[in-house]
Amino acid sequence: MRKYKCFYLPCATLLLFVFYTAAFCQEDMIAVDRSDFDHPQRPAAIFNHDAHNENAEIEDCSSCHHLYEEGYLVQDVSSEDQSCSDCHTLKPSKTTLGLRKAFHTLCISCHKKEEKGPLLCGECHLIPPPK
Amino acid sequence: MDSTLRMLYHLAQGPLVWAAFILFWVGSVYQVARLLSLTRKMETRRRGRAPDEGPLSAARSTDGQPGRWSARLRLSIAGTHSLTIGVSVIFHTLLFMVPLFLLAHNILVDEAWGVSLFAFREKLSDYLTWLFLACVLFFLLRRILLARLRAISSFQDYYILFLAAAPFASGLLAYHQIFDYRTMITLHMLLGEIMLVSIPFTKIAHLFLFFVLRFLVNHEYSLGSGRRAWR
Repeated sequence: MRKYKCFYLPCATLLLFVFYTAAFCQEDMIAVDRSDFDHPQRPAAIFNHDAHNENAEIEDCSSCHHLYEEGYLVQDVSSEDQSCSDCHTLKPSKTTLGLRKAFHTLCISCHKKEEKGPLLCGECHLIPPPK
Repeated sequence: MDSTLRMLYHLAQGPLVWAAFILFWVGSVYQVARLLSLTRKMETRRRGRAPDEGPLSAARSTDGQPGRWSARLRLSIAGTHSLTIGVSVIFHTLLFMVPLFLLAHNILVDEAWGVSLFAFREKLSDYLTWLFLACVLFFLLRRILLARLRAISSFQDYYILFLAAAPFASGLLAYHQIFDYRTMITLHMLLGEIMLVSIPFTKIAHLFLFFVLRFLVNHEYSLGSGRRAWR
């Protein structure tokens, strides 16, 4: 074992580098996270976060990452630090849309308003799903 | 989406839906009224719940005795053509159940009106659609292969089978995104609308005429106490 001792430090450095990169560098988002659904029915909806927002010229994070308190929108406060499913549980409550309807409403209502972007089921839920 | 397809899509998902529903209802009311005008209320009601003649009369004569219903069933078409009736029951059940409880349809209705029904998982709807299409194939082969059926088949008999199958087949292809998705979903909507409009004006009118004939008109296949007779 002693003769391999000179490799210990470089290997440790390499491992640290690999795990550090994986742990702290977020990959580009290319699809909506569907991991909160118990029985997802369709492939994850395609959504390239950065490309979409650049294309749609969305600069205000809170326009999607909104925050509602007691049923009212809190102005100019964004909620990127939270997951959608923190508020939008699978089953809807009296004041909050269920998770699926929240996703659909957020995307489709804007696409309808702007008359841009996909509206049909299979235009977002692509087969095969994006990788 | 190219401009022709876009225009067709907007027509199919908007004005044509309403046109189809209006034509369906107007046509249906007209056909029921027409059928009723071809019959008249009988002056004196016959005694008993049904006429004395006909294939079910033997079973009817045992009214009130044990085995009445099993005898009726055996002598009815369900007894003489069990397989076809079995397939037919599955076919007609799925024809209503699959589109009504389809998740994607319910999501669209929910988006539009804020109401929705219970919905099947998509995988189940997928299997049920295949089963439905298998029933269609059974009817098609039966119509082609059986000489006695072929002899009384006209173009319309094949056409109504096509009308029933086409929205299911196009929906299936759209769901699996086989061929161009946008074309297929537009075709799916158009075929559904064509089917809806065709209901009152083709043999699919049995959707409602069945009830009028079997329950109101007095004949050997009456199910209720038919109080009307042909003029």
